[in-house]
Amino acid sequence: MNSNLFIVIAASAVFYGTPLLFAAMGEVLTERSGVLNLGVEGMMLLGAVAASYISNTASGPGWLVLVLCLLGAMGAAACGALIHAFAVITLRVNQTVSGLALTILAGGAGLSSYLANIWELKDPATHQFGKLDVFGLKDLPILGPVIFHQTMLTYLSWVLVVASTWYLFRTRAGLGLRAVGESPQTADSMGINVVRTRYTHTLVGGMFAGIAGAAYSLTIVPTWVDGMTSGAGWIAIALVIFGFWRPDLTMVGAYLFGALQGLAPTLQARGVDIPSAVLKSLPYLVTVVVLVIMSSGSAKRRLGAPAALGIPYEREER
Amino acid sequence: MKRSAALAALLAGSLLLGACGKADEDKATDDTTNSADGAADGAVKAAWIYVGPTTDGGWTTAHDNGRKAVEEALGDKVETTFKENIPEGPEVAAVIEDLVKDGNKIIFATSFGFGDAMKAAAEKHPDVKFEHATGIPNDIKNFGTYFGAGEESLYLSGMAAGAATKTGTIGFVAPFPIPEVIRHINAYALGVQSVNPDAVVKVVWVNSWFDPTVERQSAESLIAGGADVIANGGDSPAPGEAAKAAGVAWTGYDSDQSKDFAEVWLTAAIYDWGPYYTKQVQSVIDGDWAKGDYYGNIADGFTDLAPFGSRVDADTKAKIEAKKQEIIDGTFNVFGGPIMDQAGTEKAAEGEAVDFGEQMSMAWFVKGVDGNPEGN
Amino acid sequence: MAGVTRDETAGILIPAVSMRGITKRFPGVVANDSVDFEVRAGEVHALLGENGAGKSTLSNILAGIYRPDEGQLFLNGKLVELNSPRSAIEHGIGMVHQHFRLVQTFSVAENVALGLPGRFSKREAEDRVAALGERFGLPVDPRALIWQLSVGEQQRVEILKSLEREARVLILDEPTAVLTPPEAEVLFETLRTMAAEGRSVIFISHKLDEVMAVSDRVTVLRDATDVGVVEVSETTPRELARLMVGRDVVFNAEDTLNRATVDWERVVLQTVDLRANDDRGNPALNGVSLELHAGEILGVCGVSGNGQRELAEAICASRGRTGGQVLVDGETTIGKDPREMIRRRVSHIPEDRLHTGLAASVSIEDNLVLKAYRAHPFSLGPLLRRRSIRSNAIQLVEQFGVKAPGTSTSTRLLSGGNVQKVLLAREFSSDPVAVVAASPTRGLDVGSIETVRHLLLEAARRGVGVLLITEDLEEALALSDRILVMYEGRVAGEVSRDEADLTELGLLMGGRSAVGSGAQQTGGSES
Repeated sequence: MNSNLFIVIAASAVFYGTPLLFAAMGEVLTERSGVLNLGVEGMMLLGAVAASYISNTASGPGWLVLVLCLLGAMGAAACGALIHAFAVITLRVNQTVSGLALTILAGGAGLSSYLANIWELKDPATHQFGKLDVFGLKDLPILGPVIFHQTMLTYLSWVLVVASTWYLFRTRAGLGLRAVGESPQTADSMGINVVRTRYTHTLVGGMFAGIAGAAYSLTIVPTWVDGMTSGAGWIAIALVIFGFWRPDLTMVGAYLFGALQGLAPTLQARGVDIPSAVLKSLPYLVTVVVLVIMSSGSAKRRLGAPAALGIPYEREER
Repeated sequence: MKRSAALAALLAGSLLLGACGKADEDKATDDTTNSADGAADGAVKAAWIYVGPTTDGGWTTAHDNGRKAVEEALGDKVETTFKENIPEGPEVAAVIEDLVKDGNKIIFATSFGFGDAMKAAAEKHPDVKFEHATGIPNDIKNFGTYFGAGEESLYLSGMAAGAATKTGTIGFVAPFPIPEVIRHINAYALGVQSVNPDAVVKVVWVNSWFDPTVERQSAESLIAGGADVIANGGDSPAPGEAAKAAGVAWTGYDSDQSKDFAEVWLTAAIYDWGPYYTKQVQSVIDGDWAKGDYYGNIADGFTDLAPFGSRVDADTKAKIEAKKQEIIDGTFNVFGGPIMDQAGTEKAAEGEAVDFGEQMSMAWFVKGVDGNPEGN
Repeated sequence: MAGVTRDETAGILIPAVSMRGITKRFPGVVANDSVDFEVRAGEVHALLGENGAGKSTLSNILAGIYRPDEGQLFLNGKLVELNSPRSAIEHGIGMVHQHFRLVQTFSVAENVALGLPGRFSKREAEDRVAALGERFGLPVDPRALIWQLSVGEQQRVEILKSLEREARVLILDEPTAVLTPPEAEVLFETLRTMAAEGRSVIFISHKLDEVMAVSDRVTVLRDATDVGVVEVSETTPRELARLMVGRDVVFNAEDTLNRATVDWERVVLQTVDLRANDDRGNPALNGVSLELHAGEILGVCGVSGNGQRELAEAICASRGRTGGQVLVDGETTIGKDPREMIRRRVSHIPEDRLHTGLAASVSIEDNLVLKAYRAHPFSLGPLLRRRSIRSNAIQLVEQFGVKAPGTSTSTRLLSGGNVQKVLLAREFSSDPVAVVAASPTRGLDVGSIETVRHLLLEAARRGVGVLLITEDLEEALALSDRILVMYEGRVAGEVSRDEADLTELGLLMGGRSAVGSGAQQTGGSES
């Protein structure tokens, strides 16, 4: 029964939704601080190329190399995020422009491809995150393939969803972060360091994007190919809206998008003749619908974007 | 120029990232090898324009290997240049102008989308020879086209797949529903049926030449649907990854992955551009280059099979080798009749063959292919 | 509070706060020019001055938000340097800003807990806020979200924030601007309690009566510098006014003269049993009926949060109506689209003028045609006619006395009084039959208040009906022909200007029926 259409799609939704989840969760934290970072795609590719490089060159026990890969991916993507942070927080450059520039600079025809060239990445990653058989339950009906047969990264993402939800809504730091994104003036007058909060969460968002990139280069397509994330960073940005800037709802969204993405080939393989263009556009249609619903009335206020999203903060403004 | 702007941005970016990215500018790849300065006098200059990076492990790598073969064969009689990652847009015209100014006498461009710019340049510079891979035949004197009969080697790799399948279902991860791809899938399916008449080739369209995620997902869904051999026609090795993860066999396309995928590898249809490139450049040196629309095949050594993997048994290898010889000898035509389409309509009768024009515009699947030739 | 001397006798000798030679410059403006300012422990100290005199800048420096370009700050005799709001908070300084520093989407408890150290527990924070509110007589629902609260309630949250941090020095920037007299009285009580506990309260205002009523001493600022410190017991409002304005001011003089003649035959705006919900979806307007006549100024008073805002918005259709009707010149309106009311020539001067009334970053000239740009003479087909837009602006700026460097200046850069004048210029120049004005003089300086009041009277003289929603009772008494008092979404009573007095109105606003005025209705009022 585990080859049942629904279970196949559910298991693949979790597998392909994992990088989306990481990237979107990172962007949630960044946007909660009031910084819009459209450079997710670029940061993911930086993370992917760094992870791929370390996987192929570092020596040592497999688990250690994989940890190093993740750290390297987080570091590389955070460097990208740092450029954005400096541009938009310190220099107060337009956030959309800076984010797009980051994606172009680091993206498929940019720095990540350049690095892959000089590092001569063309073989499959030596160390990869394989699917685990947790508690030997992978053949358990229904839940087995979906929950107990995923990679370590998926389990890490679950921990991070819980942790970041808790952080956002149950800790003082999270309260401060949300205040910075809603009303930096208020946060500032309450003694919260707006600049530091924004820097920190832009960098953390970058690190999450880095892990997302590593999920591509060490799991989904474990061979380096230029532009391998093929637009996932943009989906992640849409997911943030879809998830109302909450990690838990973002997870639902990530798996829904993962499922919709996998639906086209799966239905084709089962001989169901639905135009794949329709299926492929479904995630975006859903996002548009969410945006329309959200833009109405008080829903916007209660669930909407951080009020100061995209607005530079300058204390002595008059 | 856009390209140099992009490079400058890259350098600026790598300086910024220097601390963590370990970018090493000294090692920055130069687009020109045997560079123009200090080149041997009298050497003919030849240039290549690639749509992707030379490290893509597929299409562009294969062409660049061809370029290297030219250097090796002709030594200091030739001076080669390449431009990689050129988008199929207006930029290519500027790239061609530069190459002409640099004194290149023959220019190869390896993507279909370069055609319009090539045509315009060919009319403007009648003394330079232009060659367009996968291009449309035309009547400009200095503008030739070339491609290979991939269907022959696809037929042979289909034989390997047909022998390997136990479930009788083979999954084909296909890029776009265009005649070239449909022809290849049909040839592959005919090869499968030649050794395993009841086997079915299931097709899933990716609608992209390169989308690793969807290519992998497509392969996975084919495997989940019972396929135990995976084939692909796109540019990424992602379907191979899916096969590897599931432990099912894989026939690749356009690149030899036998080392990295040893445990699942059967074989792959590959192209060897080297001999053709060498011949064309030599003819420029000799001054007897003539325009042509070249369609290389196994007999020429233009198309071939990659080395077999351990999953192919000796008996099958022998059968494939024998068939290959028949093709070389001209005694076997891949699209020789009787050939039926999916509905059972006869497309070529016994003793006849699907004619070349029909092959070049194929829009129907042969019997035994499970999929929609109009795409999805 | 650690680090602060609690010696009560020393508090008199050594000032709790002492600012010396404070200078602060902004591009093109000197906001504070070598200001000296001193506050003792245990006193309510008023900081008096017109808008733009430098009161807010000085208090922002004390709150650590701005850093002075020159000057020194001593707290309890010790030289300190405040380089951030956090360090000010750590030194026991709290500030209630005129524009509240509250996160709109947070609950009351979350706003109070913001920035505090230690583990965060929502439940605990809510309990603390409730307890604190009870202790200081500042009741507010800890779970309510800020955007659902009235302005008066939001101010309570601001004060609770400082109290939660046990501020020794509390700065309140124009705190009464948003309060009704009874509310203000409660606030003054709170301020006096805090001072009696040894805290220093700095009370920023330009309202002389309040300053006289609540403070012990007054420092007057004029043109960015301090012009005097006086003991309240030894001064008069007239002296304070002269210090503040630099000339003698005549109070309530022209208002009574030259009044418009009300055309009692012609009702320009009428509501019948009008109902609407607040932002939370609870009924806020429970059937209001009123009639506004041509040339009449009808004052609507009440403690903030009793439906006044909803009334203005429901009339102007920027808030959905849940029942009842609004008639303009005797014709019913649909009330789905604010544009309908614009077409019917009902003007709206909203409470939050900089955000709802105007496009803050847009130029004066464009703001002046925001309602009229769609038609001749300001546009031709899809194109705007810049020349007529500009000449329109030049004329209005002159007519309404807007002080601005030029008509292309962005509205955000203007002072509060000038912003209001731009808004009035736009609304009055569109030839309205009725104007709904919500707190039109709130937060303005004396000079601007005079101008705005004059403009309202002027409009009435031209036959426009003015619905004046205000929390300033004196203003209502000075300008209105009749006054309605709202309580819990209904009209609690109506009085005419001749028979009204402050006490009576105050009682009505507090939900008690007026003595002998016969206005003891609950369901509405017909005149």
